[in-house]
Amino acid sequence: MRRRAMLALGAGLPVASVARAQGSAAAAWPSRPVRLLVPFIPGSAPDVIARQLAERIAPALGQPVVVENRGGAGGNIGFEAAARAAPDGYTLLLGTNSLIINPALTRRSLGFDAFRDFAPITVAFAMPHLLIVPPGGPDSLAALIASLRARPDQNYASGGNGSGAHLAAEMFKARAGVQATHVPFRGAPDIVNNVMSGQVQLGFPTLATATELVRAGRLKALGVTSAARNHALPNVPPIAETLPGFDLVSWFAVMAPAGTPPAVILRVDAAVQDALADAAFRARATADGSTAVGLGPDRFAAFLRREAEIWGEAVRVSGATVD
Amino acid sequence: MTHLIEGFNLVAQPDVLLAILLSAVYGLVVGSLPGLSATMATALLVPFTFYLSPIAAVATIITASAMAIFSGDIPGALLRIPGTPASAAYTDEAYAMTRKGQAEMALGAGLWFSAIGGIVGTLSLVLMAPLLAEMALNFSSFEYFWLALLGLMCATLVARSSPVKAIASMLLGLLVACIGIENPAGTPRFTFGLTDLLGGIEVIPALVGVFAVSEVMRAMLTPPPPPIPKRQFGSILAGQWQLTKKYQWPMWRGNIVGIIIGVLPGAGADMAAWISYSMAKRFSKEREKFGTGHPEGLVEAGASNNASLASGWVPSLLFGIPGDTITAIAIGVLYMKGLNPGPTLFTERASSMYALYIIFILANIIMIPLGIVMIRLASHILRAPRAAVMPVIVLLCAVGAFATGANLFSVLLVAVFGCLGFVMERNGYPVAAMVLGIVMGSMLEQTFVTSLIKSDNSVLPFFERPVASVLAALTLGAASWPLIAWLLGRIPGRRAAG
Repeated sequence: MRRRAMLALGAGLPVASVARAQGSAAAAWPSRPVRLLVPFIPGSAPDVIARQLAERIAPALGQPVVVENRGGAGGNIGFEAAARAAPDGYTLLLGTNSLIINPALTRRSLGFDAFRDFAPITVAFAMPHLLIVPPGGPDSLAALIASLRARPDQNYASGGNGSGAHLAAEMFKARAGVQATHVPFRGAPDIVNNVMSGQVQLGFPTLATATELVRAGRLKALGVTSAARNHALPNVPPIAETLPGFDLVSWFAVMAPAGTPPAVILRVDAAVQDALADAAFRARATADGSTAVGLGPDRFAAFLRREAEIWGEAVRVSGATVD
Repeated sequence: MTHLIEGFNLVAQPDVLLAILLSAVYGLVVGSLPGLSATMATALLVPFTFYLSPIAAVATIITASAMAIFSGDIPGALLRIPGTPASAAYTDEAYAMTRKGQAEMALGAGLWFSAIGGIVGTLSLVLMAPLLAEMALNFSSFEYFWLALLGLMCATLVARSSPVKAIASMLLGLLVACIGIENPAGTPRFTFGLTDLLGGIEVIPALVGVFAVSEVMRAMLTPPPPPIPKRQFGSILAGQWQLTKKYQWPMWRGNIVGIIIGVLPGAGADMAAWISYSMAKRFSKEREKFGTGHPEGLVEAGASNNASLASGWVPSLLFGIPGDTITAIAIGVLYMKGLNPGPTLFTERASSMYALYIIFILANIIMIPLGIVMIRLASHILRAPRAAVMPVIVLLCAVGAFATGANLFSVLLVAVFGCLGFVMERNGYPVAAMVLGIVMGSMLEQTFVTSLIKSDNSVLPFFERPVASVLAALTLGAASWPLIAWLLGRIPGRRAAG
């Protein structure tokens, strides 16, 4: 927190020149545009975040940052491409928790290893999921759990097998000791649609997709999956208040292929931290309910290990595999 | 009323008007490049919207996407490279008109009826958005299932070949749609251990392959046709007014079907275009002319396509539920600009909403003059010698496919589907029916499986729900109609008695 405050104070200083003094490798970098690989299609949530970040950090790096979409196979195609790219500082990756979830879903080895193939730079944003029920549904988490115990034949909606919404729901089922049937839809917006009309009894969409509908009374929110309350819906309690230790968030991070020069990593981190410290940028980027994280390279690795445990457990309890 | 005036004031800012004009030109140019879809055009605009005021930012997205969807018809009509799955429904018809020397007529129809569809769709948004949104909410997977099945039935209607061959092509399309891991069970199917196949077959490379590459291959085998007669058309629009009068009923039918299908987040412009083209043919008095370069289908499908685009904004603005990839991007921009989509947007930010409506109308009006310029420029390509054009088409197909995923595998797919399309057409199997199978296949499977999970494996809800039962009756009726007609024809003396 202090570090971010200091960066905020120093926002006017030429951060680039400070970093440039750190090594000769960084002195020449970047001499041409840097590409930021996004393993999802244009218009997806990670894509929108990547484009905002790319635009904001480019001036600090002194070169354009070009977003390149490599969608498909739940992100695996893009992750693999980033893992194989030359670690010369000219390829960055927008990593998400799919980097952790996808390998857990399969016994086959994918073309990348989240720990071996990537150098962590900055976890920029996090987004909790929201437990939603139809407007006429239970009024509290306790009431929902009681209802699911009484009628275990109810359904929950997700955006597909192995999606964040699917795993969050399975984690919830395991922790609360309840049953519900998984209805995998084609994409996250279908969750909101089906719960709003009462065709499916509950769901765990990302907070952003449901916020306005909760405010307008078209959906009832019973809890957020993050450990703390969210600024977009301050009246909704964390699920952890009822089920202690419940903490699942989707995150968006800047990473690089393993072996990227440390000076480059520091400079990209500084540029991202600088962006996050800019109040106007942060307000714009977090208007949808995501939170600015700003976890630098030193603490990112530990974060990644903890995330692997959490999502690994979620995959185990869900029994979801793609083999 | 004050909201409306405020809305006008919001739009009448110089920065907003400039943003509309520039993004219109941008959308027209990018959309007309084969393989660069309207979605891509919109995604590339996102970084620029950071610098704009909220209304100007949304204006660029609305304008550029409407323009790009229309100009996607240009390579379809001139070179048989459909820009979107929606324009694939009528690409063959438009291309047939081009070969008859009526390229400007075909493109003019696309332009004129797109603009009308866009404006009528916008009016539906203004007048009935909340009503339409509630209707869309009542559509569940059961109704979507019947809709997808109804869409597939169009296969036999859109083709000019034997129904059996059309169905065979459609089934091949369904098989292609099975490929990949993105099915309800999350099981990899027909991937042969290849990571590239895990994501399934993208529609755009398949589309470009079966239409454009197969066309180039056919051209290599046949002697050059006599040059297209050089005709001066005078005004592109003059002919359109006659078409509007002549085909008024199909046009309105297209608009209405487009609006209804457009507000359903699961359906969208693709389905609207296919269903409308089939309806135009089914109810036409000159059915035998379809497929030979007859504008009637273009009128109905073009209107329907763009009406659905406008009404597709209803669930996006009211619930934040995107109907397609373009509105998904638009929702991101709305959030960034503090115009969070949701029911309160209509009440608390009413003047902003009116501003958006005005921008929709404005975009569809300036589409006409700018579109005419674009058509005039683009039709020069028809005067170029074939030997020069064909290699460029192959190059554009490859580049366009690469652009969709920045992936060499897509280029390979274009080649494979090109060969497949060539063999199929040589033997009378319509490729359009296969594309329909690819587009509808995953939706059909998805809605069927999720419906069964929701109903605990009971098939009753497929017929119980009111809208579902109507759609079921329509689908089953359409499926059995040829048989019933045949049986009725065989009853002796029926004619005499009637």
